[in-house]
Parts: sequence; C-alpha cells; structure tokens
Amino acid sequence: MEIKHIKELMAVMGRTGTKKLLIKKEGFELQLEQQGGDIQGAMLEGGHEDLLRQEHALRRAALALHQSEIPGGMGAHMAPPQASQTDKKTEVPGEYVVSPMVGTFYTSPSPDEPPFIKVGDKIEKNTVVCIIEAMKVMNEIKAGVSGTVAEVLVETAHPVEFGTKMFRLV
Amino acid sequence: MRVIRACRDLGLATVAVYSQADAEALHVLHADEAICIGEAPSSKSYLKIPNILSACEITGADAIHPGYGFLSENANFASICESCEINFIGPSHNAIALLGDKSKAKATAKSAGCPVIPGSDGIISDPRQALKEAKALGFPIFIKAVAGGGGKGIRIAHDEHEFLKLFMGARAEAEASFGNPEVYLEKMILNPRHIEVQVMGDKHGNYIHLGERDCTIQRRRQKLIEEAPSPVLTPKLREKIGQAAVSVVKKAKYYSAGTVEFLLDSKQNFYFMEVNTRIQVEHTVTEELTGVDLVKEQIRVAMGHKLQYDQKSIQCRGHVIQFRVNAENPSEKFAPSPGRLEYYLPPGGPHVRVDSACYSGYNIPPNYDSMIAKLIVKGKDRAEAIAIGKRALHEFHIGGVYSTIPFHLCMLEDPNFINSTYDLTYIDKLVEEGSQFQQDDQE
Repeated sequence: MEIKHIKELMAVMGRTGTKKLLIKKEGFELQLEQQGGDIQGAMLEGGHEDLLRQEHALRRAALALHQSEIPGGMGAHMAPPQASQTDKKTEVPGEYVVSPMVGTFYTSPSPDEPPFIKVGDKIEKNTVVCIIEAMKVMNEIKAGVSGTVAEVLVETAHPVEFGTKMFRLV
Repeated sequence: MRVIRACRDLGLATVAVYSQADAEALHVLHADEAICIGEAPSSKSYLKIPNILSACEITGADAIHPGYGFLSENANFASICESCEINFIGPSHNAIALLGDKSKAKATAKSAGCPVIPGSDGIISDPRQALKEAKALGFPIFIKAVAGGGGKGIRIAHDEHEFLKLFMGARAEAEASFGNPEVYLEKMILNPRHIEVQVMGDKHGNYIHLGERDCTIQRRRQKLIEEAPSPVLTPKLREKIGQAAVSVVKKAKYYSAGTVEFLLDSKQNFYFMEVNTRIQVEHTVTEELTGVDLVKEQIRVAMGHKLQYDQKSIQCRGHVIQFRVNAENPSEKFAPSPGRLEYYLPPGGPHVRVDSACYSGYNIPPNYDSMIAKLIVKGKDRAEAIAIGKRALHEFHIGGVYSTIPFHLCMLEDPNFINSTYDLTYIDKLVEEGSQFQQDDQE
C-alpha cells in the first residue's frame, strides 16, 4: 500500500464521515479511525512492510492532509498522529523499553534459542531483553526499567530506530 | 530538502536521518523513509557515526550525503563510509584530511603556485617561537586553530604585549572545541573582501570552477548576504582567481564540490585563505548564476560519472544575490529567536528562489542553527537584483519569531552596500555603533 493510497483513504473518510475503516490484504492490515478532527492509523500486522516504513507513511499522510485542510495555511498546529502498533485509539499508558540505538531487533540470542523474555515475565533494570544488531555487532540490550512484560511490540528480525518502543511493561 | 530534491530528479530513493528534536522537520516528512538516530544534542545524533551507519544498514542505503556542518568535513567519517562500502558523496577522505587542515591546505596552495596570506609556515607550538614570527610578520595578526571551521577558533593580537596571553588562550580553546590545540599565525589583511570560488572535480581527473561569490557581508564571521559575480573584480582578476582555485584542488586531487576561499585587499591583491571541503549553504548562488545543479553533479560524480561540463561550457549570466533569513533579532545584536513559526509566507514570482525547511506551525528547535530560509534573487545586473530583492523581501512574512528580513531591507538601502564600498568589518562596526537595522536608519 503506497502513501498516496493511504492519503486518499483518509481524505475520503473525512469527506464521507466514515468513522472506522479496516483493510485486510494478504500479510497486511490497516485500520484507520476518525477521532474528533484527527484520523489515527494503526498497522496491525507487519507482514512484508516493516513497522518503521508504515509509521513514516502514516505520519506523512496525516501531515499532508492536515496541511490541505487548514484555511490559508496560517496559525494551525501540525500534530502528526502517532501510529501505534496496537489496535487501541490512544497511546496505552505504561512503561516502555525503548531502543537505545539503530539496528535490527532480535527477541532471542540465536534463531534456535527461546526468546530472552516473554509476556508475563518479571524483569529488572539489568535484565537482558533483546539483541539489537548494528553493523554486524550483536548488542545485548538491558531493560533499564523494571516491571512485568505486557506486550512485545516489535517482531524479531525487524529494524528499529532510536526511541522505538520495543516492550510494554505494567 | 536540497538533497532530496536532487535525488528525486535523479530517480534515487531517500532516507532522512533525524534527532528527536527534528521529528517534524520537512526533510523527515518528504524523504521516502526516515530513521530516528538519537536525542537532540548533536553529539547523540547527527555526530553519532554508529547510529548513522546503522541507519544505512537497516534501510539498505548505498550512499550518504553529509550536507554541511556535522560530519561533512570529517575525514574519519568519510574513511569509515569507504570501508563499509557506503558511498560518501563528497571528496575522498585523503582530500578532506589534506585540505580540511588549514595549515596543510595553505602549504598545498603554495605548492600549486597560489598566492597565500603571509603567515607562519605551518603550525607553531612553542610560544616563544610564535612571538618571534609574529613580530617578523607585523601586527595585527590572527591566531587560528588548524582544526577550526565555520568562523570559530580565531583570535586577533594587536601588539606583542597581548600576543602571548592570546596565543595560550587560543591553544586551550582549540583543544576544548576541536580536540586539537594546534594553531598557526596569519597576517591580518586590512579592509579585506571575502571572495570564494566554487569548484567541482570528478574521479577521472577533471576539475573546473564555476565562478566566484562575494561574501563580504558578515557578522562575526557568519555570512549574511552572498552575491555573484563579485562587484569589485575585473574580468582579468576573475580569471586569475578562478584558475588559482582550480590549481589548488587539482594539486590535492579533490573531486566533488568544494569552495576555495580568498581574501582580496584594497590593492586588488588576492590571497588563498582556506578550502571548504563540502557543498556550502551559498552553493545556491552559483546554481542560479550558471544554471548548473551542483548537488546533482555531486551525486553523479560520486557514482563515477565524468563532469557534465568543461570550463568553456560554464556561463555566468546576470547577477545573483542571496539573503540568509535567520531566526535572529537584528535589533538585539542578532540574538537567536527560536520557537514556533505562527505563519511562514515565502515570496515567489520571476527570478525568486526560496530554499527552506520551514512551514507554518513548525517549531524551530533551539538545538541547531538559526536558518529559516535562503532567499535567492537574480537580475540582469546588480541594480535589478537589488530591486527584485526588495520586492521579494517585502513579500516575505514570518510570524512568531524574529527574523533578519529587516536587516536585509536596511542593507538594500545602504549607500555603502549599493556602491560596494564595504569590507569584512562593516557589519560588525554597524552593530558596535548600535545600529538597530530598522528601515528608518540613515547612514
């Protein structure tokens, strides 16, 4: 799905007053929801597209749409919506383990070993939670926060950037 | 944005890297992909080499355009890119190391037969030796850091009494700011003008120049207005300076875009000053004067193509002036004015170009530089360029932050500017005299 398609969908939703739109294709799912003046989007499954590209596409589409709707382009605040990976409308409160670097995220030490942590595990600040590979170096990442794992937000072998939320804790 | 536009024209996909402070920056929104590489402080993001290289890795990028500032003149970074098989769009790391070091660059220029500013032969570490050389050269004298750039790391000694203290102070500041304490001495040219030449080379040994730019309107060594051609050069001198610039980059085997900077004294003598081993903010002036897209040419050179142009095919037409519109208050000694752009309404129409990354509602972060936009105008001669500049500046509306637009409008009415009878110290003198740069100021 290209950004221009997402933009068109969002524009049509705005014009027709559609509140919620869910699209399912093979390996891809997109949910758009209208809340107040903003259209929030979420990619429910990575599939062939990775999280970073999808978030970026949604952000651009939303900003372009906001810009075209502002009368005279003056005095309006741009707030690109956050694309979250869950199907919730707003940011879920809680603690997050975020990526301290740019690279490829792995849930386990090697392909045939079990993941470092799973939902329900209690972790401490120094618990190794994942590996981020950067420039062929496997970096073990520590949680930095303590809590119980509520959700794993990134799929293994997917890219992460600085600040990407990887795990949600409660 | 400039790089993204060139890539779009060439059919190349783009990845923007950004710090957390730049999440809503225009280049981030326009690039095909964007990767957050760290926190707002430059050292944690735009200077963080591993994060930038990782961003290349996860997106499958083949090349990096370093822009200007940050890592653009970091020979180490260029070398690392090379060893990671990422194409660094710029000169070779050897050329950066040679011409980026001000002292080595001067030696290179000298060996290429280019006149240089009288000064110390390379770096001087010993204070007593330095004082001896300073006395021989004659005061006033510059003490300059070899690793300095962007107008930083420079002290002026007016006589031998203050020299030693300033020399030691300069070394300490250089160590702190650039990690390299070495300094060299340079005679201060009185009433100078800043003339720089745009050069371009390819990986096949071809080198050309694309004319000069006159950047004499500066405040504390920060350029505010740039124009081409220089209003004070004769055609003969223009030719000489252009060839001198080419001889320097040829000697250094410097390919890609670069700028060779000279000082012109009141007797029309020119002296090599330094080389900027990157594409510059004011490359736009040369683009409008010659019709050559310098960034596209940089990318093509990086890909291994020969230069599209030879020296004969470079035509300089008309007169171009660039006004740097910064988020600064000219009435308060150009105090920075970051914040939210309530509205941003750039000018348009014939012969007006605006390069900017701003938009209405954009929050100008305080972490980086203060530039809002570059306004570039072109006329058939200097008088017409000035008239179009006035037209465009009057159309340019910025709300929410202070800008340098009033300063530029003031300059365009200034008799010294109109007659080109100013030198490098002019703006600093006006600021010192308490000029508010409002339109009813008379000179």
